[in-house]
Formats: sequence, structure tokens, C-alpha cells
Amino acid sequence: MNETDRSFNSATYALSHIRHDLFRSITTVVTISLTIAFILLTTSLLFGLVNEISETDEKASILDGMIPGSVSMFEEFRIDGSQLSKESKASLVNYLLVTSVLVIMVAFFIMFNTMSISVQERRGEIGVLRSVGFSSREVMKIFLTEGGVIGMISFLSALFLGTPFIVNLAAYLIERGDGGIFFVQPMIPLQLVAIIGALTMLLTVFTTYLAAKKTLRVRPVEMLRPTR
Amino acid sequence: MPDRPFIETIDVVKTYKVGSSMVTALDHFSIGIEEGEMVAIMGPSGSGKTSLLNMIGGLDRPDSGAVRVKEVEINRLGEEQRARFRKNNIGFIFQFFNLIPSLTAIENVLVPVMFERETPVKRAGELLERVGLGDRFDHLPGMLSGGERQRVAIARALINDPMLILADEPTGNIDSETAREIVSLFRELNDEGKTLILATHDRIVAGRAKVMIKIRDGRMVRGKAHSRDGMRSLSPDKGGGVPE
Amino acid sequence: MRDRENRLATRKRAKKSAPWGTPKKLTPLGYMVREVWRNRSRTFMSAAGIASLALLFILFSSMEQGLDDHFRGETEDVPTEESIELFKVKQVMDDWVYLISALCWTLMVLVIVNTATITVVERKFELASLRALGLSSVQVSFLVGSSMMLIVSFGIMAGIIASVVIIPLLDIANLSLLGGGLDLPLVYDPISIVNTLLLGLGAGALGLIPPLLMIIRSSPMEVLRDAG
Repeated sequence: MNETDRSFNSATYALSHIRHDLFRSITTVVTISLTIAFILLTTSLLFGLVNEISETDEKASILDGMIPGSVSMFEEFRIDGSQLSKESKASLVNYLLVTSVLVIMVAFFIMFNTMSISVQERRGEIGVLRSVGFSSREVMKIFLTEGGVIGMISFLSALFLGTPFIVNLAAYLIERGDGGIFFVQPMIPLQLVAIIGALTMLLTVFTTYLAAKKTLRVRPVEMLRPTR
Repeated sequence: MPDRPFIETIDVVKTYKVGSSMVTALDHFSIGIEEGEMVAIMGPSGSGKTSLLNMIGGLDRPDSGAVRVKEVEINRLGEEQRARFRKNNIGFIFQFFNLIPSLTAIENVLVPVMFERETPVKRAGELLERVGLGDRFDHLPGMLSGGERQRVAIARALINDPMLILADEPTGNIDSETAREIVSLFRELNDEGKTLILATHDRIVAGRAKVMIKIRDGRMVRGKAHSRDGMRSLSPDKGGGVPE
Repeated sequence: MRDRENRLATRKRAKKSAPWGTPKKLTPLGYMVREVWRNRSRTFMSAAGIASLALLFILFSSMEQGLDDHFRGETEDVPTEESIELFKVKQVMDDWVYLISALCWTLMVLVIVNTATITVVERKFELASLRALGLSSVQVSFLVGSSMMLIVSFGIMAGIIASVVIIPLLDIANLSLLGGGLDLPLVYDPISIVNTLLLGLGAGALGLIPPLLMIIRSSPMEVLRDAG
């Protein structure tokens, strides 16, 4: 053991577990980051649309004034957005809003499932921790830290890898003369990054809590035994 | 050889990998068990008694050597064939009962035959009554005591009317009073002509068996016959049924 | 006396946990339904995830259908300004439908992989016992696979039922949602139901491959040994 290993807390524990079970962690991260990329895709289209609406007519949208000067990630795909009237855009905004809400719901269910596996697989480990004197609160803290770390990694990979990948792949596959999806310019302003980032953390931590809650109520003795 | 023993392991070697080191569970282990015997295998934990049961039950394959049950060389069978062999010829009883928690007692008894076209519900009921659980048909395992759960497991092991019953620490999780009853049940089954092999820590349980084998570090330390018509072949120094 | 009371209490509890009464025989189907019921909270979560994905899929199908219907047989007329707008929206929509359907389907597969994996991990001991008792790995896979398919069908049914309620409501709410926009026609498309069903079952079959491989590759002996 070297010097750095001396400090042991929930964060080092969580990190060492992620490192230990790398394959499982990677599949978890891929799953979660794909859902986040989905959220980012719909919301970035939404932001792009709303932004274009507010450029042409300030009174067109109730979301007016919410969009700061934003950074566009997909400049090359830009197609003249003014081809669509503001009414059309507003309709698309409606749909995207509904879609985003649904996708966030989906993300919640998927994250809950994913986190359940990671808790369930480690019943024995929880049993050991509990029997050496960890309170269920402390074990929960370990899980929440781990959930948070996974959420963070997933979010970053969704932002920098997932969403650009999906958009580029779509652009490549669709490749229509009229531009299709990119009548609307997807836009990821810092504000959106902050909102979705916070949402991701909230969702991962909350779903981890839900997934771990039931398992932690089981008596430690039971957990050391085979699942019966 | 014309008269092969009912169960025979010949020069079985089994090693497991534990971390980076290898553990020898069975070290050139040979034994012959006749039909209708009741054999207790004793030994400290890690001595290889569970491995021996797993070999005979076809749950595991030896690294080298042969395992023969009822003229069938089960170490040569594939995974699926061994499963079918287990289902038809062997009843398993475990230390942790291994009942399905969502199924009632009678349904648990029926588990091994659930894929069959006709489920022998009547037989399952008779077996439960036989093990003394006539009033517990519809109880879930969570509602039963340890002894009752093990009785359900015994009824389940009997559903296909196997010739051979393997029990791994059958009394490891129940109190000694109930253990005695369970062992009496085993004796009854043996009297009916079933072959029983029990792996156990418990001297009382082992004392009721007709034959006791002690193993340590994967080798037979002592084979001893209790009954008059006991098995000479079991003693390693005499080596009757054991090919040299 | 005390014993008798206990027994009565036990019997009561037993009744409570098996509300369907005891069937007179045990079938794989009965066992599977029992397992799904026992894990109802997680069944609910997975089914809800699949349901929202199915809803999203049907929603986008009906948007496309609505726009398709709108332009069917109207091409000879002099296009109005509104129909030109609708045509542009249709072009955008056409591409979104593919993109979002593809994402929905991928996520559906992931939900199923996750749920089936937890089932296999959580019931490791139980499944190993079944195999020790002489069930073949194919039969055990059948048990897990069919209980998963049951959850998938629940989810898709729920999604279809939700779509029947929600899509007409959205059609009405469309104009008022953001206070502007075109009257986009939403046409509930019965074929999309069939499509959803097929896609869901396809996702189920694909998502079950990794967990079932897990079952087939695992050795029952090792699971039982680790537990004992």
C-alpha cells in the first residue's frame, strides 16, 4: 500500500469499486449516457428552435428571454432556419417538449433499473459492511457517491461523445438534400448544460437511493446468506 | 468386472482455483458404494466432501478419473445430459434447502417436474404427507420452520422416485431435535431400498448411517462399516472394490 | 394452545401472500407469473420504461401519419400558405421519426438487457438450484425469457393504452400549449400499434441474449458452492 491509499472514505471506496468492476461500470455508463444523450438531443433541438423563434419575433414564445447567447455545436449542419415559419416552429416546439418530458421519464426508469443491478449484485458486500459496523446510512452514502460519480461520467460522455455522435450519425444516414432534421439547428448553450447536468445528478442519486433503500432494510445476516 | 458397485469413483482428481492458488478438493479419490447403502461422509469443511457429492450428482466434472453411477459414466455426459440424469435418478437435498420462495410447499415439491406434461400433484401431496407436512400444502417457504423446509426439500428430492439421494449438510441449518427426526426419515427411506449419501459435520447424523467415511484434504482417511453386512470395499487398506 | 394460535396466524399470512389461491398443479407459466408478481415494484419500473418508449414511438408515428394523411390527394390543388408550411414541417418530421424511433428501440433493448440481467443476478441461487434439481439450462432460460417477455408485453400494452388516451388529448392541446403554432394533425395510426408490438418483441428477443448467455455459461455447482 502506498501513501495515497491511506485515506479511505466513501469516495475512494466508490472509485475502487468502479475500477474493480470495470466492465459492468462501462455498460452502466453507456446505458445512462445514451439516455442522457437522448435528453440532450431533444432539448438541444428545442433550444435551437426556440432561439430561432425569438430571433424572428420576440413575442412568439413563452420561453422568450430564457436563452442567452449560446454556443452552437453543429455549425456545419446549419440550414436556413427561416425556411420554417414561426408557427411551424412553435408546433415543433410543442412536440419536442412532450418528447423531452417522456424521455426524462424513460431516463428515470432506465437509471433505476441500472442502479438496482449494481446494488443487487453487491448484497454480500453490503452484508459484510453492515456486519463490520457500518450503519445503513453510511452504506447508503457509499452508494450515493458511486451513483453520483457514475452520473457525472455518463453526463460528460453524453455531452462530448453521445450527442455529437448521434447527430452526426443521423446527418450521415439521412443525408437529404433538403436538410431534414437540420432545418433546426441543435443548440447546447451553457444553460442547457447546467440544467441537464443537474437533472442527471438528481436522477442518478435519487434512483440509487430508491434502488438501495429496500436492500438496506434487509438484516445484514440475511445478506450474508444466499438470497433466500 | 461383472459386479460393479452401484456408485463408483475411480481415481478422481479435482482441483479448484481460489484466487491465484490451486486447491485440491479430491486427490486420486476412489470409492465404491453398493445399492441400498446409507453412507455418511464426514470431514472438516474444505475436505472435499461437497465436491465428492457434486461429482456423484453430476453437478461437477472431475479433472481426471471416472465417476460411474448405475453403469453410466456421468463424467462423460454433457451438461444437458447430466441435468436429465440428475432429474431421473438423483434426489438432491441442500444445506440451505434451496426452496423457491414464491412457490408454496406443494408447488416446490413439483418444481423438478414442472416441464412435464402431466404434473403428479397427487404424488406430491402424498410425499408431503409422508414427510409429516400434511397440513402445510399451501404454505410459502417463508412461513415454514427450518425443519419443515428441509422436509419439503426431501419430498421434492423424492418426486421422481430416484434410486440415489444426495444430501449436503442436510442438518446444517436446523436444531438437533429436528435433525434427529430428519435422520430418522432418511433411515426410513434407506430401509425402503434407496441409496443415501450424506455429507455432514454432525456426529449424531453420521452415527445413524450404516457406513461412515472420513475424508480430509481430498483423501479418504477411514472407511468404516457399522452394519454387519457392511462394505469391506470401503476401507482403503483392503481396497476391495477399488481398482488399484 | 400457543402453537395453535401461531399456526393459525401463519396460515392467515400465507393466504395473504398468495391471493390467487393454490393452483392444483405447477406449470412453468404459473411459476413465472408468480415471480413477476413477487418483484412487482421492479416489474413496474421496467414496464413503465418500456411503456413510455412505446408511447413515444406511437406519438411520432401518429404525427407522421397525420402529415401523410394531410397531403394525400391534395397535391393537384393550388397549395395554400398553410399547406406549404405543413409540408416543410413534414420534411423535418420525417427525419425525426426515424431518429427518435431508432433511439427508442435502442433504449428498449437496453431496458430489457438491464431488467433481465438483474433477474438473473438476483435469482442466481434459485436458478442454480433449479438446474441442480435437473432442469436443463434451456428450460431455465425459458423461464427467465418468458417472464421477461411478459414484462415487455405489459409495458407495450400500457404504452398503447396510454397512447389511446394521450394522443387525442395532445391533438386538442396542441394549439394552446405554447400559445402559437400550426394546427398539426395527429392521426392515431392503428398500424403503429402493430409496429410497436413487433418492435417491442424484437427488442425483447435481442435484449435477452446477454442474460441468457449468462445462464447457459454459468455452472450451477459454482453458484451453489459460493453460496454455501
